[in-house]
Amino acid sequence: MPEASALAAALPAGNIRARESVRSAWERRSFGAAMKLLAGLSALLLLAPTVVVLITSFTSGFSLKFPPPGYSTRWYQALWNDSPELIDALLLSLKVAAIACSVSTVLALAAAMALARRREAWARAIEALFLSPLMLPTLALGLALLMLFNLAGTGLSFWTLVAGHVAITAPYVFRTTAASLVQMDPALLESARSLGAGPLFAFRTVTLPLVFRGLAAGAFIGFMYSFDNVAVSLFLSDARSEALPIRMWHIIESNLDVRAAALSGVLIAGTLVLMLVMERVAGISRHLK
Amino acid sequence: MNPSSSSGLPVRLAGVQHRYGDSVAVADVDLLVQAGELVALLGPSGCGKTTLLRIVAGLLRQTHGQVHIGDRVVDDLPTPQRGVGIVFQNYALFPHMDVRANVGYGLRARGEASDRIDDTVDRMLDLVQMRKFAHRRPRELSGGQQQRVALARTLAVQPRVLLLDEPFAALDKNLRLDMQIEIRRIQRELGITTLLVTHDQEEAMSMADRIAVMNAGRVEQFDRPEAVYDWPGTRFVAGFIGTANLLPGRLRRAGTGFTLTCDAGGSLALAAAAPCSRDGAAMLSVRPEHLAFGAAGGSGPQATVSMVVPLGPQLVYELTLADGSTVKVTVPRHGEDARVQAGERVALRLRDGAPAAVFLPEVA
Amino acid sequence: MSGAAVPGQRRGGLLLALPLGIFFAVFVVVPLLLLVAVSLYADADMTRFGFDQYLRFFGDDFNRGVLLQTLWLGVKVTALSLVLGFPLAYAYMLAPPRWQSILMLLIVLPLLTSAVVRTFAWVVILGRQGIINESLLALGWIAEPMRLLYTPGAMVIAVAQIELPLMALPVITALMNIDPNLRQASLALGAGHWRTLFQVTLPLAVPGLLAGSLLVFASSVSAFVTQTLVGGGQHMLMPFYMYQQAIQANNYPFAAAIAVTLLVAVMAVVMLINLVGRRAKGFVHA
Repeated sequence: MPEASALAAALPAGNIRARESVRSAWERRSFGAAMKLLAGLSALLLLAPTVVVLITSFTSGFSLKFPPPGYSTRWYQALWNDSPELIDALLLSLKVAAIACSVSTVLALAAAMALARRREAWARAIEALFLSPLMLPTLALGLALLMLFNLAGTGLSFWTLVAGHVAITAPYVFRTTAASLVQMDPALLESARSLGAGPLFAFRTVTLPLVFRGLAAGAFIGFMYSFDNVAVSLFLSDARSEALPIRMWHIIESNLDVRAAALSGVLIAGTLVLMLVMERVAGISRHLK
Repeated sequence: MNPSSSSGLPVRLAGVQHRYGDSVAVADVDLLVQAGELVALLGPSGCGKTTLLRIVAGLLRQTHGQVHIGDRVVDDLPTPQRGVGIVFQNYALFPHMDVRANVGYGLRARGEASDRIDDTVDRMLDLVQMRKFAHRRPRELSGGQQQRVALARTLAVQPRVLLLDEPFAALDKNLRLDMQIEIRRIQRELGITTLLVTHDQEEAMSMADRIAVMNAGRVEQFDRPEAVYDWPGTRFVAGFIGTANLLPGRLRRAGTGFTLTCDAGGSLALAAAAPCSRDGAAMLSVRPEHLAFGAAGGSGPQATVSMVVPLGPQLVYELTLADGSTVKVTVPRHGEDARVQAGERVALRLRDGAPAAVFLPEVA
Repeated sequence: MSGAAVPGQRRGGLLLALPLGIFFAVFVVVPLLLLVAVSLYADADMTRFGFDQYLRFFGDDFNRGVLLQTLWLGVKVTALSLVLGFPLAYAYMLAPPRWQSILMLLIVLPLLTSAVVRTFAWVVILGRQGIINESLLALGWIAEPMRLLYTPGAMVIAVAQIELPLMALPVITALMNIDPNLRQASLALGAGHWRTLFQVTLPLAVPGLLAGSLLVFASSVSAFVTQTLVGGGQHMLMPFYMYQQAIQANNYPFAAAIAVTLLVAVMAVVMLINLVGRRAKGFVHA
């Protein structure tokens, strides 16, 4: 622009490149360095144990020595071939988790629909009740259930274990489903109803598709939580049918069994795969926040 | 605060470019803002005006070019060291501090003595007339009040350059006018160089000493508001600022002036032709209020009045030319022009002394 | 069956909450009440009532020590996870999207894995033949393997690492909700990065920090597996004590008393943190 150069000529010629003050640069850099260091340390701390276990699972030795003396898949083979008790426990945990998760989903979906958008104090209170297992030591609940079943004379069984697991997975499903419902525009259902949709039809065609992701995320988290659970399974597993985490705890505690490493490897890999799939399908990371 | 002690510094942008990967946000901008001047960066969204503001602020590092503040090149300086003050579009007041604490924040950060801080905060609050609200929290204030606090906070640290990012966007219309006058007054009083980003042309026209009209990362015209309005430098500016009637035709020099022979028939006499003044095909851009019409016949383009709409103090006429194109003409409702009915035939002419811009014709 | 809450209208809708309500009544409320009731038996054979269990618990140095040690563990773990979790969340906030996905994966995966697996990893790391001992031996810094397992320090670190995701997630949410202009405004006004962190970012992240603290505290206090595998029998903590009394010693009333005490203690801390949170929330909203 002709203007700029004419006026530039009128200014004192200044092309002095101003430098950032030492204090400012030091401050900025030290902050960046400190944050990165701590964050890196945290990330490492999160990652390292998993990596260590995975490497150890391929050891050719008989102990948990790290680094391993050599590598082999013997422990995975031992897991597959020589560990009927572990496989049984694994299957049991899967069954319990699947059934508990399914029951929870139905119950929690219904409850979330009834309560999610109400403002009354009693609705909040009931919600708090349904969410309470998330915050309180479920160990106490496990013990309490043990006492209940003993007192009621039913003793422990597969179904008592399932009952306990429903109690602790329902909150997860409830939480994510309620959150999805709250985010759903109420005008959508109102339009559907005004267009003549009956309650069931509106539910099936409007509500369900919209809360599906939240529901699926909650169900998945609930499933994993049940599968991994120690607190309730600790008290409700009987000697014959122990949940996998409990059995695994026993073999580690008693003789540092290296099969636990292989088992861990399998579980980590399985969880990782499921997680990546579910992230695609339902975006679970959003719902964990 | 003495006006002289905080007089602003000139700001110069030299060949500034900014790319995001393949897309160009700012393309080769050269701008010189005088000390104490208020320049509006005006343009549609996505034209790069906010990006440019952030570059001057130091919140963004441009990919090419230099930013000069005063006589120094400031590209290596982080924001706090550039002597700029920014007011964000959403004010960015610290929600967990009251008004006093917000306004005094910059001073506390610079380690000023607490009694000096109190003094300055008081003066700033008086300047923006928010003294009564000193102990309120941002969420207890209205939009206009929050903006004034944000301004006070920024001015408290005596910046040499003030940067405003669409500051009035969130206010309703009546408040907007008041705030515009307010900020203009303060800016003039302090003599602080100011860059104002806006997409509202009326705002730019009323507040700025000069307007930089931007489009797709380029500055299309940088001039005083009247010049931008009367003599738009490009077709974009002609269309963006106010309304413009576009009449294609052939330009010919005629004595001391020019004649445009319209494609739609008839011809118009022009005193000047800018930016395009060579003989040949051209496009005339003329504002509705700069046209007039008289009885049918004569040398001007012949037209038929298709609609008459009273709009406040004006009458807006829509006319159809011989080739079917339409032209808008506005006339004061209580002026001496005779009222014309729809369906009447008239001849167009340029009002005496009215400006009109001439551009190269559209490339098909 | 619509979800819209029109006051007074949805009697039928409320019925939907009944199944879960009944289930919770039977399998959560009743057992917990039973727990309290059982804890009020004066003797292990459950013949007469009394507060004996609680008197026994609080009257004994050892028992009180167990409770305090457990709560103290919770505090230490919460503190450590705050120090580690905040920078991680901060880094997430500033990271480009690609890195954010990776970080999120890193944070979420542990949450979905069993505590047993994660604790086992620490057993491997801290064991006599684990990576720490082996590296130190190889470097020549020690002559023979140190005992790292079964130390209180190791337990704190292990539990903190395991609970770290529970702290990171709420803090990430809180940080992401802070208007980014606030940080830039603070920097533009002349505040350095450290001042901006302490005066602007941290105060506004407090709700997330509190939510994370709450979750970490409650979880670490009940971390049965980690406490027993890494802590060992040296330091008795409430979870194992409860288990031991119920399953091994068959003393249900005492076990119940321990359970109730643990519940009440955790609930008290939760309410305390919520109270602090309510006051802090007042500042945050703009």
